[in-house]
Amino acid sequence: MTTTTTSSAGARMDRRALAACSFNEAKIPDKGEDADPLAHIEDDKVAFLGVFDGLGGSGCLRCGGADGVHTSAYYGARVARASTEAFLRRTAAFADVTPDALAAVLTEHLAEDLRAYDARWGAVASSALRSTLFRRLPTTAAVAIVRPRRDTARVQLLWAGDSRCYTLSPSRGLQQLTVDHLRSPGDAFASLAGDSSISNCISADEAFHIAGVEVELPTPCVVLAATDGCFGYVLTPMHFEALLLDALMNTRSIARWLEDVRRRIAAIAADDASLTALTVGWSRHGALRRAFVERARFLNETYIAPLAAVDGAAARVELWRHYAPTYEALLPTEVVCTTR
Amino acid sequence: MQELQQQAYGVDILQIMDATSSMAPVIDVAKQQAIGFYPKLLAALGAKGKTVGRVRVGVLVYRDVYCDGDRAFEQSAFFELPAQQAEYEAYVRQIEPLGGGDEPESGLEAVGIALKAPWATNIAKQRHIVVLHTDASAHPLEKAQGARPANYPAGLPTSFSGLTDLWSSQNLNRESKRLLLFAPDAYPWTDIATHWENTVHYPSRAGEGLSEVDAETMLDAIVHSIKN
Repeated sequence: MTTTTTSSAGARMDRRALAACSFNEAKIPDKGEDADPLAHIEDDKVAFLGVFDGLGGSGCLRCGGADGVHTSAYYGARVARASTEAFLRRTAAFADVTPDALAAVLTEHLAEDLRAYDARWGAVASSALRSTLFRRLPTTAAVAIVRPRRDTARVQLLWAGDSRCYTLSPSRGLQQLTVDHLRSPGDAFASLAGDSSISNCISADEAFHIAGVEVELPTPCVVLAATDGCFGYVLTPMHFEALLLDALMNTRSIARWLEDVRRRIAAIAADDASLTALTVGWSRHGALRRAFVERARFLNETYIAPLAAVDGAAARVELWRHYAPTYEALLPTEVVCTTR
Repeated sequence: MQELQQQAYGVDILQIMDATSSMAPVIDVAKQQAIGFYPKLLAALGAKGKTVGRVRVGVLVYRDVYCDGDRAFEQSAFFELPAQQAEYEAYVRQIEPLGGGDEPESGLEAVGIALKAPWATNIAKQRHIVVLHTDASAHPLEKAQGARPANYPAGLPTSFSGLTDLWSSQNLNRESKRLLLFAPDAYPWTDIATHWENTVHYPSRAGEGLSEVDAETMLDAIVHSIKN
């Protein structure tokens, strides 16, 4: 399902024009463990977006709720989404709150809401199984609060787990904004081949922390949040950017763009996949598309076409090393964390 | 555009079966569980869109090392499936419940032997799954520090903590390994379920089937990466 939100306010000032769209692709219909993404535009001053990926391995015990009996991961993602949305709607008006303060308060809200839900619904479907693997309502979260300014956007990022926030710009392409919380950390290219477990996830029964950082992005740009089903099944991180740009070049609206992205990801992902995108500074989709024509050409000529011609591990590594410095330039080196 | 990452999984399964005489009433059910496990696992992996490139299944039969002599442990090689499906099933079906002596059996020694099996380690996305079926508790490993039988397997940990360390070591990748216990609520199985990572315990009598929900839950715990 693809949903679209656009701002009516701000259209007079192009740099503050905001449009958002999202999709949630369940690998097994009606059992998807990604919650529907958050994509909310408050006005021309603030918008927020987020994704939530229930952890199906540790969250495989059954749990009750409004949708009937599902996995704990299914409800963990949805409870976290609702809790985060309520929190952001209350705090969005306060522009001066620091990311560490936001992270601290959001951590408390999530912990309280998940515990309350577990107390109410957790025992509905009992199990005879015992395991140290199991967690109550485990999920990731990756959230961006975007405040457009004159020529930049102030973006506050809050996350736990391996769902990511990115920015996509005509001049620099795709750049990752959040660091994955993995036990065996590696760069975005190494993570594609690995299978590392998560070192920090939200849950009702284990301590967790929400990481918080802030970055100033030149506008116009696109801010994205995506679960690992979106970016975890491509050949290289460059191919993920190419997937986004190929779809953009072939569509005439943000809704059709995300629908095309959804279709492409659904064809290759062995997992649920959800993504939300917020365009900042383009009041018309045609302008957005034209802004990325050169970047799409550069990406194809520099990375995609050479790999298609001479593929192999060595070629991928070499081209990743060429791509990585710009892709990783905005990754936080110091992250403020608050443990519950 | 080449978008598809190579994500084929390699799956190794080692079925550990208590084949003492007390298992006689339920051994056929345990055998069916062992034979039926991997098709269900493949179906669960397929439902999530995970490609399986290679499946191997091995069998380790155990009894009581303190009274069953050369029949205390019997281990097969890994069978490649589906090519060696018939050989695998034939091996399982010929397992004979006998011996056993007193109630604790040599389950911990069997786990130690299983952890030292020739697991495949050359595939990035892997599952190493140990499935144990028993109706009894197990002798402490420390018992072998006293009168050790001549046929006692060499190279095993001499204590439960040593076996715990072996499970936690890099011998099997942390992300890939799973231990499934169809075993009673007794030593050492409850301790293992409480303290060992990546372990799922169904407190039961061997041969007692899982509910459909618990069977799905157990498969989910294996199929999903720990992270998702």
